[in-house]
Amino acid sequence: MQLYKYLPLPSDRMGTLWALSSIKDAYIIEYGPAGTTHYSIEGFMQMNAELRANLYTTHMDETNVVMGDCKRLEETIKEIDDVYNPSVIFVLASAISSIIGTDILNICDNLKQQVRAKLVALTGEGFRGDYTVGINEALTALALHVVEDSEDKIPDSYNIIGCNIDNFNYASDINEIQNLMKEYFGYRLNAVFTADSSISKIKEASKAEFNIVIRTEGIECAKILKERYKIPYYIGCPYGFNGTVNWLKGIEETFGIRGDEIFIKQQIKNKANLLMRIKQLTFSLSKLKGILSGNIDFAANILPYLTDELGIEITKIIVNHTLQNKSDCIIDQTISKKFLFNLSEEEKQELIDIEEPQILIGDGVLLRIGEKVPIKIQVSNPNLQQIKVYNNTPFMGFNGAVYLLEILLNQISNNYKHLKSNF
Amino acid sequence: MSIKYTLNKLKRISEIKTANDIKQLSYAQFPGTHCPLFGVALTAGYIKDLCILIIGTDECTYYTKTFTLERSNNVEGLQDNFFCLPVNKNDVVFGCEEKLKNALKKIDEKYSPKAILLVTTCVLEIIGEDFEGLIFNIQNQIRAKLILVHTEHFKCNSHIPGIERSLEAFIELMETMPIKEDSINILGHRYEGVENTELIRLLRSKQVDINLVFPSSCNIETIKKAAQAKLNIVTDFTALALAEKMKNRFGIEYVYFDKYLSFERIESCYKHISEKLKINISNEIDDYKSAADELLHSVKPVLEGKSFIYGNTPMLAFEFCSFLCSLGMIPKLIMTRDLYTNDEKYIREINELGFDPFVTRIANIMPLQQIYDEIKPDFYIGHENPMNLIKKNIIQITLDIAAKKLGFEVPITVMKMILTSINNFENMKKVINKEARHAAL
Repeated sequence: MQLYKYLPLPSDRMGTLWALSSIKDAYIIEYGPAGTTHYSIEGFMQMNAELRANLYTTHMDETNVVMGDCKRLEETIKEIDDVYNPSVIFVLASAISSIIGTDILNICDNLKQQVRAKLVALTGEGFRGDYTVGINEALTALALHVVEDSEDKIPDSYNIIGCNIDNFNYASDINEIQNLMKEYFGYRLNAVFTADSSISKIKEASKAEFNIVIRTEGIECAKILKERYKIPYYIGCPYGFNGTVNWLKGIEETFGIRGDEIFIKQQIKNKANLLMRIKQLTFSLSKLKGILSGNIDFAANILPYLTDELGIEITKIIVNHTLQNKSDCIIDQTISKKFLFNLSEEEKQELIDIEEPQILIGDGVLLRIGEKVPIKIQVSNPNLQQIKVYNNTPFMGFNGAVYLLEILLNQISNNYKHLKSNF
Repeated sequence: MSIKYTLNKLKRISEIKTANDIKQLSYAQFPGTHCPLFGVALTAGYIKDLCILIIGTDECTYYTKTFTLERSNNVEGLQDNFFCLPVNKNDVVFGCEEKLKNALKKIDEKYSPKAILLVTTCVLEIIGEDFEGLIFNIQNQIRAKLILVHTEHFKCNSHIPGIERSLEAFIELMETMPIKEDSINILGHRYEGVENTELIRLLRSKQVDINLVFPSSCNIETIKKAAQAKLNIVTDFTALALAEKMKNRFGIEYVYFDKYLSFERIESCYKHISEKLKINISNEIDDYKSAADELLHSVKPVLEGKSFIYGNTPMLAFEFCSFLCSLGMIPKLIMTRDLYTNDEKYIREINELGFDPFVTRIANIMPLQQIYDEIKPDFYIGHENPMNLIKKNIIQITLDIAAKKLGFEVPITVMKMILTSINNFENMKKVINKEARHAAL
């Protein structure tokens, strides 16, 4: 039994909708009570995202529930097809439609001769797992049903797979990846799966030279694109100075392309000075002990920066989901004991009480539970009240490393008297 | 895009006899109505010493919490007293009785509320979990009084039943008490700052005791003592069912004094209250009415002959439109959730003023993009994307603030906000035109 004072773990259906909602010119029909759709539309604001897709509800009444009458859904699909002529319509099940046994797949199959749009049925009703399962489902569906074959390749181009609105800093991080790829390789972005993207862009994803996968849920999508369109992929996220250099070198090596070494030299020339600022400021303090939280890819990739470069002792890492369907996700044995998955709110509170961290680097709920911890930096969702409108505050890349370091310097400075002295 | 959405599929106001006559413009709805669970979220957060337990899917519980967390940060007097108990596939198949019992015990022990409101959602209603029976079985193990509200959305069209049922449910806590003369309850007011409203200030100046303001300023103890009031004043139609129940159970009379725009209706409500409480407020009413009349005379020439679409306000849809019609405004399309108490009367008033607008269901703004071009209204009253409206040269008026008012201050605030909206629109247009000129250069 998990009772929540804050937020439960979002479901697969929520993840599917989050991944699709940021795609401009996507058409989505939800077959369920209207309140669910209305709620989710308002929920995007909590992630500092806006609804870019065209999202509709059919609503359901007692006749639909008791008699299983699906005419409402069929008419809605035909109407959207007729009025807007979209190339693809995503048809989403709901908890109610699934419980009463509505066969969305069959309905879409029966209608395919009557509509011009390709119908993509997504049957995740909210009981198959957490939101990462839904993100995976949406990314995979895009690879299977939306990306089109193309003879033409766009030279020096790449796609990003797995930058979605549930990433706390997605907008700034997309900009930073583009900046890195442009400045180091001279490459430009083709399509993003899926934040601030469009169906027309994703259709043309096969024109890119390679894919960069930045979350585990995107690996299946990348594999499909490799198999179908011979697009190779690279998995990884650029966090920290060293992590970003390694990421660039990894791409260089994987795809056999050469970057501009001068760019890296310029970016890291102040690294030593900046890291020294942290060391100087914390000289008389005992080593900062912290807890980190976020999704698995963020947590695993940012960890070396926090520990090896910034010198924070991260004692525990709370991953805000389960490891369901993540066979591709491998955690280094040496640190695997630090990772804790899908903790309850009580467990988080106990962990804070036991570990006595001086710093929390995590989501809005963890920061609220640990409100007495001196240093609190929000880096992940769920988000309770942070508003983000400026898209040049990345956590990824060289700029992200500097930006995080600046936040940390300020937090240490502002909370200095609450931190433990070494002497 | 082909033009598919037209007003022809709708009925005109003169043809509206039952709620079934109110049609949707399209099958596809955006954003769709809110559900009764949202109605509970709007209502129960005000009640002190209460915990609310939402039982439903991850989605229902998650979004209710994000809403109530944000709202409790922003609204004075609101607490974050909502808890989530998400159900999984096993619960759907085998039921969730044990899980629910454990959750109730935990809340009871850890937070010691005086009452716990259990809120069931669509999935639980479909599987037929017997919550009444469960409460009966477990109440003696829980110190807090357990109250139940059902919020399935597939049986209704909006969040309103959630508000109504939340309010009604609390009658179970009310105890029979000796009547305190000169005391009243305010039922249905869901906004902070009730003490600043015209109605409350006036009653207090006449030494009338405000026994309870439900739900916006109350706790479990004050709800228990609700039946000691001489009179209930119902300031929102969602509390009418509760007022009726209180009349039957405790013999407390009520005056229905909603957020009316009509000066006559407001005056009539004040007169009813003065008769019931035997207080003289005629001078004050004259003063309020004079102020409203004065503003009306300056507003009417500005609005006369202007057309509007009514989207939504916290006021009564048809009563509000009737008032605008009385100013000479022309209703083109009225959106409404349902038919409510006295709507028949307000509809007749609109007809008698010579208007017969189309009527459609609320919360479906998507097909309106095509309708705007068809009917070219001067005003859109309610929430819509402001940029969509500016592009179509339509003045948007949102009136959420007016919901906090009670008495003549409601139409006064509405009229002032309309004038302010017109000014803002002109200023916005100047800015946009200036930008367009710069872009052209």
